[in-house]
Amino acid sequence: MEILGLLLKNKFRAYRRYLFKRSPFFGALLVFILFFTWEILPVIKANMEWLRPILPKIYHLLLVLIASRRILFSKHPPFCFSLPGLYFFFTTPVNHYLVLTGKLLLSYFPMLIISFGLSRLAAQLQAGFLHGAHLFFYLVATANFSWLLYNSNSKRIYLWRFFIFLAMLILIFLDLPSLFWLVCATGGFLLAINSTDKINWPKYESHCKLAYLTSKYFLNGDWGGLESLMYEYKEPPGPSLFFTRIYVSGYKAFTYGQILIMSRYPFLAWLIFLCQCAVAAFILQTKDFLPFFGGTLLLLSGIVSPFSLPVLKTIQKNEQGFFLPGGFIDFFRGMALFPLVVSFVVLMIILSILADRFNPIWHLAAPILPAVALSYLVVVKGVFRSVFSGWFIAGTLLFGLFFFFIRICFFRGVFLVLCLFIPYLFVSWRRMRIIYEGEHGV
Amino acid sequence: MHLQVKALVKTYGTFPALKGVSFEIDHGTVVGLIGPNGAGKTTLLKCILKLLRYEQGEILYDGQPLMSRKEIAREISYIPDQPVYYEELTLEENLNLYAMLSGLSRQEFLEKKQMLIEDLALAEHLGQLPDRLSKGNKQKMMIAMAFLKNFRLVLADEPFSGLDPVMIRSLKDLFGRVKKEKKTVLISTHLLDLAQTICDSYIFLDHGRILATGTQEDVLRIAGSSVEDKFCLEEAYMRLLQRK
Repeated sequence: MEILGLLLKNKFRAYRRYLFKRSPFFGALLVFILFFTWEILPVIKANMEWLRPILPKIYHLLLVLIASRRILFSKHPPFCFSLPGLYFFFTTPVNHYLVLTGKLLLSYFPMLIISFGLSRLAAQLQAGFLHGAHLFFYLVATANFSWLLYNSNSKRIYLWRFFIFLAMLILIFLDLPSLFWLVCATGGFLLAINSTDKINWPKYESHCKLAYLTSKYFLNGDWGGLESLMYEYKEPPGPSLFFTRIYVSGYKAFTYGQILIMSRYPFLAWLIFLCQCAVAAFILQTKDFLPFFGGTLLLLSGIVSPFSLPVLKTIQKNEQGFFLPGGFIDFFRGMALFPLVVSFVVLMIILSILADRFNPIWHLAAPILPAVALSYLVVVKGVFRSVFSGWFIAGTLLFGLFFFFIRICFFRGVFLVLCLFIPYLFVSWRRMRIIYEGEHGV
Repeated sequence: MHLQVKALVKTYGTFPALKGVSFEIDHGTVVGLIGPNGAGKTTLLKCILKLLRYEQGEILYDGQPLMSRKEIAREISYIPDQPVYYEELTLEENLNLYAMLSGLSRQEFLEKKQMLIEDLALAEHLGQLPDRLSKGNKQKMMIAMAFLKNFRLVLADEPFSGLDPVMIRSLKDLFGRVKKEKKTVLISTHLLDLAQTICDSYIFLDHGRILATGTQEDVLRIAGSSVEDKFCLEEAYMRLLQRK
């Protein structure tokens, strides 16, 4: 009991510390959730007529997704020890059977909350038939099977995964009594607590470390730590024949590096980029300034975020001693070239969609200056490191105004913004150069 | 490269890290920068690299008072105390990119790369992401990157940390080769036995002040030992700290 007391004390202190430390963040999150709920509920209610037949399908899809995540594609264990917990588990003569039982039972607690929440939602929407105790035992059974599959060293593991998933899929859609799911969950539980001698400890330890450090870094707001952790656990990329054959120097080396880094972005990053561009194109159809400006911001963040990351990384590495002999002009040319090409293509497509009639000269000419401005802002964001940097905000405002005037073909306005751009370019360029080359370089 | 540091003063807020440090390094020599933790060794190296701004003093590179960071990057190679690399790129890609950015020709790069991979036994790790490498292998990658460049001065901050004895020998050989090419080496290290075997002269730093500089004979004299005594760097270091 004393041990349990100490463990609980440790947990309590940690949560109390995080809660106090991150209280502004949690407060803001709560306000956001309340605001979002307040705004979204009337929208859902207003659209209930056509949402009602879809929601049961979404609910079932959610259950299938949980099963596929846990059974079919599961790479991680359903529950983890903390790093110190694991150390004590290994190095002290505790009853492993008892500890594992406790750990498993504790891991069911979040499932209880999830099943309660989902059941309430399902009852509200009158959707789905797997809820209440059914749902809880279903979640517990999937977690137990997931744990058994995680530790299995069977050569036919993929076949096992597939058959268990298929069985669960069929069982979800059969209206079985909750007793059936209770038997599944209990059977899985008994097998799981007897699995101490079958645990793949090195793999499990590595995943426990990942889970522990991720939550620790997240609660501490240590984004750098999270990033380095992500890279540490990332699988090495396959041999890239294309990139190893290329050898360029001068400013092209920066472009090469930028493309190489961006080629390693996850698929999701590119999906977000495309979605942002698509939504921006949809919003930009308006000719009202404020919504148009919102669309411009979306487009700008879509392009600037992925492209400025290699710029930022190079600046950071330069300051840590990754000395690159090329001057700022080489750096700028190299880093702006690829975003320039991509921005030009994206803007050409968007302006073509927005145009009332087809005019090839206009479609080719109109995106040039906004693409140049966008690629410049990519470097500005990377060098000044933050979206809240005054230089980046000023550039964003000028770009928004500039793009709006192009959209409504108000060329006097375009000229006026260009005149404002000149001092901005001059001063921001000088500042960036000082940051890149150091005080003595200019 | 001939390096002269004159009365260098650097403070972090109110904390004085360097209190008027002065010394000279001849070209083609290997110099050991020795001192306890917090003595100001890394700060000094970063000031030489213009990674840090200093309040007073002067640093002359071949008699020239200033070089831009761009020029410094061209002439000086640096092995930092913490590895610096692109996390998403494999070890080989990091080397390729660094060589490209450093302006090496393809032929020159391929020759150097091959040599360094063999010397530092990096062949089996080329396809690995750096974050997955051990501390020693990360250090070897940083050494390879530093030696890829055509430098005239190399500043190494704890270059031996995390290396196994075979790699320490390889790195010593690399420094020896650099010395033969009349290039200058400044090594900050706590490994005194090792420093004694490779360094021609020493700079002893403590609390931001120079305790002694010079060759073995100079150090013995300053430490109060007889020149006939067998030189032991550790002994001299202890004496210097006690005398202070």
